[in-house]
Amino acid sequence: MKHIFSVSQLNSYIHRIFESDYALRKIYIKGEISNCKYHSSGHIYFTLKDEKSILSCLIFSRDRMKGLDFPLENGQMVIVGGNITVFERDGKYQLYAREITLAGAGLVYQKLEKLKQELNELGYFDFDRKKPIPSYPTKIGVVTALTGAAIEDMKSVAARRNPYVQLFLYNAKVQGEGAAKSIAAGIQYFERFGVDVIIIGRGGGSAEDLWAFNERCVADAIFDAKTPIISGTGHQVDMTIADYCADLRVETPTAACERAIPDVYEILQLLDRYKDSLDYAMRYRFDNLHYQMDVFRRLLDANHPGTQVAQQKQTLIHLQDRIHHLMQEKIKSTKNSLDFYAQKLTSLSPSMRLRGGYVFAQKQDDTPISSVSQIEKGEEFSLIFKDGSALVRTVDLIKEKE
Amino acid sequence: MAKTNFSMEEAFLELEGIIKSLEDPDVKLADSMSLYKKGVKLLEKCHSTLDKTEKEIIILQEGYNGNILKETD
Repeated sequence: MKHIFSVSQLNSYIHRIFESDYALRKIYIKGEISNCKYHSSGHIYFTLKDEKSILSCLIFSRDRMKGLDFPLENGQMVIVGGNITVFERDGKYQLYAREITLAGAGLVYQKLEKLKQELNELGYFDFDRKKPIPSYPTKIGVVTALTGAAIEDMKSVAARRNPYVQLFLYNAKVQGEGAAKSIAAGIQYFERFGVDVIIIGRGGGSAEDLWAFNERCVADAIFDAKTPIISGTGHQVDMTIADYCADLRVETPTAACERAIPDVYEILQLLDRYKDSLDYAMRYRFDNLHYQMDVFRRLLDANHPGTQVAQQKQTLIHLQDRIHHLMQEKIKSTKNSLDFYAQKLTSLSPSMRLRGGYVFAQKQDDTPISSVSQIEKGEEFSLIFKDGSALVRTVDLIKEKE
Repeated sequence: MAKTNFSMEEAFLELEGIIKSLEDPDVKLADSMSLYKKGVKLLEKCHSTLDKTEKEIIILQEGYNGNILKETD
């Protein structure tokens, strides 16, 4: 008698068997990670593999907090601790991870280190071959995945800093199958197309999958490019091979744009400053010349023949004035002494002596009488007063004894 | 590399040199006049190089057969 079970019954039965197995409750498995997928819920789905087999695994977002302290990436060799149970719906058993630790460098990491070393020896990372990033590019090519946010970011950076720089975006696949080739193709495209700077990077997205930037073909494309390249592959500590090869490394394509696009207002200010300096230097030059010319003019004026004549004239006028003045003085003092003598003379004149009762006697023939012996008795003579004269007759003569 | 026969960096270096010469009193006036003219011309060229037309981001999309389809955003 056959007993027929449903699929659910069977899966449920197997589930119970797994659950009751003591060993499967807490088990540690070592393997290499592949097919690592970050789900929007925060859970990470991945596969552990070794040379022969694979095992489905997942870690819930709540367990990530305490059980996983590094970004889970394909190729990592890890030790995963958890329990194994059956997902009844899919009829699939899986490892529910609670803690994951790195188990030394995984195979892919060993390959990566080997590639790094090889490229380093080939001079791919040499600092002296790094090209300077031009300060004033006019065309910038960006190789990245065009998620909406990244484009908007770059647009706003360009608009804010310098809307006159032309940005070209090459829509590249940056993760998954063929990503490295797509990135390399983007770089080569801009090499042919002709831009001043190339920016490569991941345009947003959440995955830590940087694998494409660690591949040889991307390194080759960067190494062969004659255009300066800025890489912006993310915020992580570990640098990708692309970062090492690039001429400059920043965190994101948007940051690369910030770095590559010159601030137009700074340029305009610089131009204004140069203009001012030119004008100032020239004006200073002219001011100086004018000043020198003024000095020379003054010197010339001072030595002009006309100026000499004028000066001589002035001296002449001065001399004239002095002579005139001296002459005046002379005349004045002469006049003064004349007055003095005149006065003295006046005081000595006979008429002056007649004041105060003195009279002057004279004969009819105007001869002055100075002695009584000059007249006779009965003779008439004149007595002159200061204001007139009197005719008198001599009545008697009295002679004083001598 | 883009075709640029005029480089802003070089222009700035040249302008620095011109200004230095202009400030040198030993440079002849006639020479400084021509230096000044040269400086002003360089500045004009810098301004015109800025090409003040606002540019939209051009998005290139990989088309069929590896051809690039240009599509303005």
